[in-house]
Amino acid sequence: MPAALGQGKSAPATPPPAAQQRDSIAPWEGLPVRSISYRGVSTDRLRPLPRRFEKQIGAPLDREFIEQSLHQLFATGLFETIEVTAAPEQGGVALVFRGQPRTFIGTVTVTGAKGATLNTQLLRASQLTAGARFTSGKVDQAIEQMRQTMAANGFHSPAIAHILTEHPREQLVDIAFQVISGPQARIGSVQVSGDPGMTVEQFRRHAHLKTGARVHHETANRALAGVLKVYQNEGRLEAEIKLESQKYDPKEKHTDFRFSANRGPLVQVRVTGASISPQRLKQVIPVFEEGTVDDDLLNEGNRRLRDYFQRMGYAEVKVEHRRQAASPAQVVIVYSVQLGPRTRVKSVSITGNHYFDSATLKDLISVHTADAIDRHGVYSQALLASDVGALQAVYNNNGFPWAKVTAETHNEAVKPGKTAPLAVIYHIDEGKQVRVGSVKIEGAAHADPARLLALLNTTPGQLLSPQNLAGDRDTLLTDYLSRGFDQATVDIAQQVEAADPDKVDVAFHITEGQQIFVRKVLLTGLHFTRPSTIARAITLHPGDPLNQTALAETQRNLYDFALFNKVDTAIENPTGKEIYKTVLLQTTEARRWALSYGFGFEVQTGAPQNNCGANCSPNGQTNISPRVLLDITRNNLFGREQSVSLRSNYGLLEQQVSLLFQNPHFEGNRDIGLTLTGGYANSRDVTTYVASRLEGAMRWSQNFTTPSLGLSRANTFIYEFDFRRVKVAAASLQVYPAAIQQLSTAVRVAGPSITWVRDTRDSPLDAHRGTYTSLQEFLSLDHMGAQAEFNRVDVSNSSFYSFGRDRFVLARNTRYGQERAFGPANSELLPLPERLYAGGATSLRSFPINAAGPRDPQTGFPIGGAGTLVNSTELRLPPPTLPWFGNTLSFVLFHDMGNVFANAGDIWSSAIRIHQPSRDSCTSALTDPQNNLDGPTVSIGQLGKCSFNYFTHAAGLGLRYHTPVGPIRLDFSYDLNPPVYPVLGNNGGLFPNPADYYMGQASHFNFFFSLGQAF
Amino acid sequence: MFHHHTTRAARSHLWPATLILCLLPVSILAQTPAAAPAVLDRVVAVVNNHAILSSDVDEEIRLAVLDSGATGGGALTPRRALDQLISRALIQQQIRAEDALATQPPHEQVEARIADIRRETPACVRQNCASEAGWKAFLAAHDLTEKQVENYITLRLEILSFIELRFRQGIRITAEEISNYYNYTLLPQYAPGEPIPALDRVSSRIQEILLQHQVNVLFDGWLKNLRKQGDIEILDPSLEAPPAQHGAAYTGKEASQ
Repeated sequence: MPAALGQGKSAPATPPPAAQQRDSIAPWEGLPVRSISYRGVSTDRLRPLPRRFEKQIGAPLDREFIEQSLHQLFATGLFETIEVTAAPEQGGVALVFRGQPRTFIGTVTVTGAKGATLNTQLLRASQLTAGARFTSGKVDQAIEQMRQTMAANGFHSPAIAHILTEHPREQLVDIAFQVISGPQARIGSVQVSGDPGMTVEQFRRHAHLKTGARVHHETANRALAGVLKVYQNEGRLEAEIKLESQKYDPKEKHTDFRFSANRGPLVQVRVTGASISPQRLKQVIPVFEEGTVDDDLLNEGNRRLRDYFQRMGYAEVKVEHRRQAASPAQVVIVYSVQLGPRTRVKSVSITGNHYFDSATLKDLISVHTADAIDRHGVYSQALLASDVGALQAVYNNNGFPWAKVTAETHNEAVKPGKTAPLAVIYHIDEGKQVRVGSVKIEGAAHADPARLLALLNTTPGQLLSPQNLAGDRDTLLTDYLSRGFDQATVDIAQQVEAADPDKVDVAFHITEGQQIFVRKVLLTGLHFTRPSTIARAITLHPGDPLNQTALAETQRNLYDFALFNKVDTAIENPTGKEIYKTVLLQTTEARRWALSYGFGFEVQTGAPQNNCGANCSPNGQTNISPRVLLDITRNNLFGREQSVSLRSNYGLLEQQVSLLFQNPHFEGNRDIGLTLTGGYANSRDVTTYVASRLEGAMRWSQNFTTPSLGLSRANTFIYEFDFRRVKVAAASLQVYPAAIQQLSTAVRVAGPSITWVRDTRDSPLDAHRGTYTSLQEFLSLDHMGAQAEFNRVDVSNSSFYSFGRDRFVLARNTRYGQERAFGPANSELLPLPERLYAGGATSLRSFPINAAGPRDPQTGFPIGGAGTLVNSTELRLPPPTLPWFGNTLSFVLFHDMGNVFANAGDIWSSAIRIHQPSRDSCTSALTDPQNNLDGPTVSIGQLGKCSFNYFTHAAGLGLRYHTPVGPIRLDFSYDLNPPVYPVLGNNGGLFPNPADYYMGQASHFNFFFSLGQAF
Repeated sequence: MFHHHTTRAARSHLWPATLILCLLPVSILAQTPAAAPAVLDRVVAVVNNHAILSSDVDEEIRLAVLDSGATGGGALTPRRALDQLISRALIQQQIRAEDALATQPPHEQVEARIADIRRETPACVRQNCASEAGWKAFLAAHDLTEKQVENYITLRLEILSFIELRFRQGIRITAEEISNYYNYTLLPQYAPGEPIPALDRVSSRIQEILLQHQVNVLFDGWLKNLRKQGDIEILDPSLEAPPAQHGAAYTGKEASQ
């Protein structure tokens, strides 16, 4: 080594023999480092460590650097093994860190196993997690676990092969398991030891162990549960049953089961001193649900019985139990109930409160006084304890850390058999109120403390609230997580100010940890979907901080496409201290063909009739209207988020077939959707006629996922162009003969439409609060190909208010519609199917479906109108607890009013009219039928002299049976002022015999059975 | 006899029994021929993602000279040294996880312990470690630096303190146990006619012995469990211990004997 290099030591030309050299670093220590290189893992992958190590170039080599470098490089998790070697270079030393790169698990797939879910079960059993370190040992273990899963499913000799596909550049390996299931075991012999109390054959039957049936993963559990259920039904709550062994016989391909069962004594639970139904007893006493008897459960039974009777109005109830062994074969558990006097919660009061008024606090408590619904009030010790906790929490969270809440009850002495008034008093000792002094952020090296402070709810001067502090800690953690600090922690320190003991200084101390960035986003599983289709959904990009929120959002976005059955996210090398990490997005595409079908029905009064000819009734008939749906959809069309569907709907009220093209996110834009439809429909939802419709439409929808132009997410706009040819079947038309030809002529309707929807409801299926508004404007124009020119505005607004702790809901819906024809005289008649209608389960319930408003002057059939105003108000009551139904059934009181009018201008003058005007004119038509056709001619044609310009009012009662998919509805309505109308003939002309003329009247009573709330 | 026994117990309370009397030339540290690059260091084992280097093994062997008598006269092999390092790494990880119990020994305690070593360790005494020159010569002879020794002693004291806090607190020795030990273990060790100390006089000593025994039992089980649950990987096959040797190889166990 030339001395000119300025180092005191030179590289050993010939390293000393190993025997003399105890320390391999010593000979190189102090030599200048000339170069550092890496083998096994690319320098790029190791960044930014190599950049840090470059500072060592030129500096003398020291032991500490070697040790630290090895530790840091190994800690990246990218090496299986690593060593550092030295070689002489230009009088110094060239260091090489070399090692075997670590491999991580990429995608794991399992194919070939028989059964609908077995591949998924095997995948789960393999416990191979994407992104985690790959070792051959893990694969061996996975195969072993998969074999066990196969065996549990009756496959005892499966062949499990696996193919490893390496991606050395990404240090990933994909594992594809291919399974050949082999024969599935059948149920063989069953042996039962112990005292089962049943024959083996009976045991087999209860255990569902039919000889020769296939064994699957639920066989053993189902057997145990089946027999246990029998014991429980017999009241043998101490029964024990165990699967001793499950042996597979490879020759016979049978699995033989051996059980031990001891039925134990009959356990009888009795209640003395009070009456309770057997069903309720089973619900209240936990030994039935748990299927076992122990002291804890029996004591829990005491508490539950006490609460039950307290809620029934026995505040002083006492419950004890004793266990009696009547005989070895029978155990009797007796709950002795001392009801005490029946109580009625007379008053609930709060004392000692200064900061909150009593009304505010009473809203928080569950115990309440007797009222019309709860005749004894609501009281139990459990509720009392829960109320104390709720009051305590509200005080603590409003700056009263030392607040104390206690509850007290007072019974008034009464004569035996009388109801004792119960007074419940909550005593509050508020203590001192404390405010926040200062708020500090400490330890935020990678964030502006001012920005973080702005995120917090806790501010100086504010009341000290543990809830706010906890929320603020979560806010800070979320902020750090979103910036890639996945190890960040936040500690909160509170210190009472020395100068002012009413103030507490708050410090959020942040330990940031290492910030992690995205190296690469690896998307796998796309076979048909174009990467460009989903590119916008991926909100994480190389170089970005590894934002956990963005990762979850990306997953959600991908699911939103409805193109994937599964989207998994993982981080490669999750435990390694790599600063730049690879994000794995593993998708499984959904089937491209989808078939869906359904069946439904409606039952209602006044349903339109079919094939009744001259015998049709203007009021329709009570009928069931079944409906069958069948849709075939091709998703992922051309690898894009678009689909084509053939939809068909066959029912009594409507038959429809349509072809639908949907692109819900046009050009990847989350807010713009395109739908093209075309199809044919035949409908009979108005009792007057059967209409057919050949139609096509192009529809653009616009959502607002990010607030823009002051519009929130609740808003949607739909821009549409409709073209349709509507035709009414002449033979079906129930109008006076002269109008038949004109009304049955096929008419083209074409033009633009715009719809605005604003939906702030909390739940579309059963809203408790919020509003829903829709406004639709449709213009049918001649120069767009229409033969009937008209303008239609249809506005609907619903509002929902909940009160009484969200138990009651006051719901209201108002619909206003108006239609105006224009253009040449021959196009001014509004086609029948394009008119405004009202009546039915989701409209004006005083009428059958679409039966409100003007009627034909001769036949009395409804003919729709050019204006409508309908208002429905509902009081949705909380579900009472009923036998059999529990809390699933609730009641609704409703009032509907409104009507359909020949002219929109008639609406407002009719709103205050509650009686049908000029009923005499309707009556006079019976004596002078020809004169009845001399009424005004408007856009809905020739009217009679009978006027329908008034509001009908209907009151009703509804039942709602609540299901997970929304309520099933049964509404009964009574129309207080139904219209009358003359019936002078049918579509063949006037009745030949004037004696057949009669005065028809819409029914007072209607009922509707359907799904969902009315609005 | 009794006095001798308790003295040894007290000393071993601070020092593990594993001793290393000599240093071994380690083949893994050997230089390769001039043309080939020399391996300076490498990872030989991994304990829950913490790497143990071959230089750590080497240092452990060299530092064993400070543990007089710990190996009972035998040499500390690289295999045993690695085993000790694995146990220590596991304990250290637990100390970090149970931060509340961890105690950093004060500098004075570390210095006092080093002074004890210089005064008492036979190898050191032979090289006149009491003097600064002798101590430096001793360290140089064993390729050690003062910093390495200080770090080593600090860590050992921290671990011992952790063990005391972690395991000693929950142990209760009953009067019956003390009496049983006195009657059935201590008394039979006295020759007939030899004066026997009264139970009252020795009960506190017996309590200490029983306490240490309990600590040992608990610590032993705890360490075995840590090894069982931990992710331990030995990358150098030559350092892999036979299965039977795994499980109780940390000197901290003996520290309480």
